Amino acid sequence: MAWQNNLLRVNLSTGSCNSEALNRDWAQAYLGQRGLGSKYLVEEVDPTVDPLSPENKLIIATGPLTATTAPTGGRSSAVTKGALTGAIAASNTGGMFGAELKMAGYDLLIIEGRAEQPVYLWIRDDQVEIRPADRLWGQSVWETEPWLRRELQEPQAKIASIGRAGEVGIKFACIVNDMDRAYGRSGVGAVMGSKHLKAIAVRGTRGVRVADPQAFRDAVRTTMAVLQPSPVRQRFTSRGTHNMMDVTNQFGSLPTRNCRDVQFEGVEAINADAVRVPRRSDGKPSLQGNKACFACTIGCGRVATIDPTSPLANGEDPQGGDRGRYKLPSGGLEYETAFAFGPMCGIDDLDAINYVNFLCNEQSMDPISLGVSIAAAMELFAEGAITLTDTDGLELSFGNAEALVRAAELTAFGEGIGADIGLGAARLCDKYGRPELSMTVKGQEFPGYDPRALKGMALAYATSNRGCCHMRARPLLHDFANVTTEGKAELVKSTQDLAGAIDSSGICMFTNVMFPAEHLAQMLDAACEGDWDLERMQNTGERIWNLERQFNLAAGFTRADDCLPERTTREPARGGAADGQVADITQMLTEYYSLRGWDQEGVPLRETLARLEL
Amino acid sequence: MTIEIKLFGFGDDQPARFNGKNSLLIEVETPASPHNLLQAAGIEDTTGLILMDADQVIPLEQWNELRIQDQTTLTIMSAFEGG
Repeated sequence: MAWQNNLLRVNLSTGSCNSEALNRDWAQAYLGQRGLGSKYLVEEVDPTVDPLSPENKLIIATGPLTATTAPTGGRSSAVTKGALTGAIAASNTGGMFGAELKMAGYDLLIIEGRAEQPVYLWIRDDQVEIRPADRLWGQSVWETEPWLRRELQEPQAKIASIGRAGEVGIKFACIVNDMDRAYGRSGVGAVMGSKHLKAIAVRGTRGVRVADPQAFRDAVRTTMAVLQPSPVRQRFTSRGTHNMMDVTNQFGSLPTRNCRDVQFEGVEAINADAVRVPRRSDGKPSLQGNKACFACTIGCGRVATIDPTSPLANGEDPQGGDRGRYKLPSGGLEYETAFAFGPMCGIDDLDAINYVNFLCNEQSMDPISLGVSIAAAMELFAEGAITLTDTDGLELSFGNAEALVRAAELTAFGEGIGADIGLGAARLCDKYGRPELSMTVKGQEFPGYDPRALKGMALAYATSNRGCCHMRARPLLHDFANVTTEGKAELVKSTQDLAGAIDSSGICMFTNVMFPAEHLAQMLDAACEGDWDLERMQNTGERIWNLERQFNLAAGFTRADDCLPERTTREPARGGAADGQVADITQMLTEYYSLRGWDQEGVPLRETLARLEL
Repeated sequence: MTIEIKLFGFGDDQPARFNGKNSLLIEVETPASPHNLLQAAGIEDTTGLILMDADQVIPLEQWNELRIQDQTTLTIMSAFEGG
């Protein structure tokens, strides 16, 4: 119950599509999504494999609460060995796609091998076909989705696909579903592209059963009674995650100009208020409204337009296409996109930032990694390591909105300097001889929280199994309240474990600040076989964390990779709550390893593995 | 004395006394506690609030201390565990 007890295995090398029974013991031990997908990956993929080889697998995993009426129960994860990082990757998306896959009857979709020619996958309940995608290869996500629905004559089909960035192997290419939601981080789209898999279209007409329907209804009702009046929920609905920008800026934790600074002077032009200011040209604001994912009553997603008179929305694009498509409303700015293309690149041009965000959805790029990689390129340019010859004359300077736009366009297609930016910040800075300018951990770019001010987040960044990430632990509110390292190791460890369970359940991580995790435990307990409570969720999250760690260790990662970029540990923050401070995780890391039951090399002890039944 | 209270991150949820603006001047007797100032500004729900005196975070355990003497601004941020 709650699980469909079924997975779909597709081998693109042989063309086989088979359903098989889900390993129910693993489901009980790892729930679903990130946890269960990781278990299958660890069991089936050699950790030393080249992420872009046919031997790597791409697993789309739903959770037990996916496609149920649990609030926000539409989540799914893409699990693989990340193209960007070489570490285990699990990227979580909302939208409608995951719920549709689950309603087609599958907990997991495991994609193996590599097709000789571009293909797409069409799943209609138990009818599964691998079809040629020659016609689609080279098309954007925005072209692929409507084309497939017409071709399949199935307007209700939900689609996950890659744009050009995924096809040409941009290391941080993502998989976009439902036009503007994404399995965003770690280069899962590059893995999909390496398999010559353009798209997955799915239509599911089966329901999802829960173990105790009455208890589940009660648990959902009780949860909703807490969720709906929550002030945090209301703020997410009205302002979206973008609201965070004023806070991080004021606090001095807004990464600016490749982390040279921690506050941005142009924030008022691009914050959550700025998107509500009517434009002179048409009297309309950039922000058109908000939107929600499957079963979500929060609706933090934004819908935006760019100025219809902007050159970005008129004339021809570099590929000769009509830019008029950018006049239409599409996925708007979230905090991370706004930070990455705004302060991190020193840009205060709202239309340029919105446009590059659109481009990420259209061509399947992770906006965090793209923005931070462009910021690294801008600093390399400022330092003379990248020259005008390298950029074909493009003035790749901090604050140059036109340069941001052009660099993003080149990266989407893997052309010119964009091919280098598309390597990601770490490889880019290595290539130009300045590795210290890469704001990355384990090869993955920084999110929008500077670790010099946010002490717990510093440790969270350093220890995240998928490379630098702000969602793998939840220390932020404590960090704002206490600019100290005291108690942060334990906080990071416990929230990493809880986040692992939430990430594997089928609901959205944002709910953890809107209702207590006990509510999730109650919903799981009613939906699934077995007794689920908060303690079991924590244990499950800890098991998942250690499983991921073991994969990374086997892939070659060591304690030395649990570190922060030199800039944040040597150059003090200028301004804000941590003025004059650097990030120093040394003591926290030692304490953290001890709390985790790992040796001081970061290797889980035998008794830890035994306790977690690993 | 007159103290300016500045808000960040409140969005549409600014307290009525702020009249849609991000700052408010209030008169309070000093020494005062941060909690006194919050009350004077009409802020009752303190969930997720961070208080800063200049660039220093005021720890929650000091919100009832009479520490406001001669400062002229208090920064109040409303934060949630964002994405």
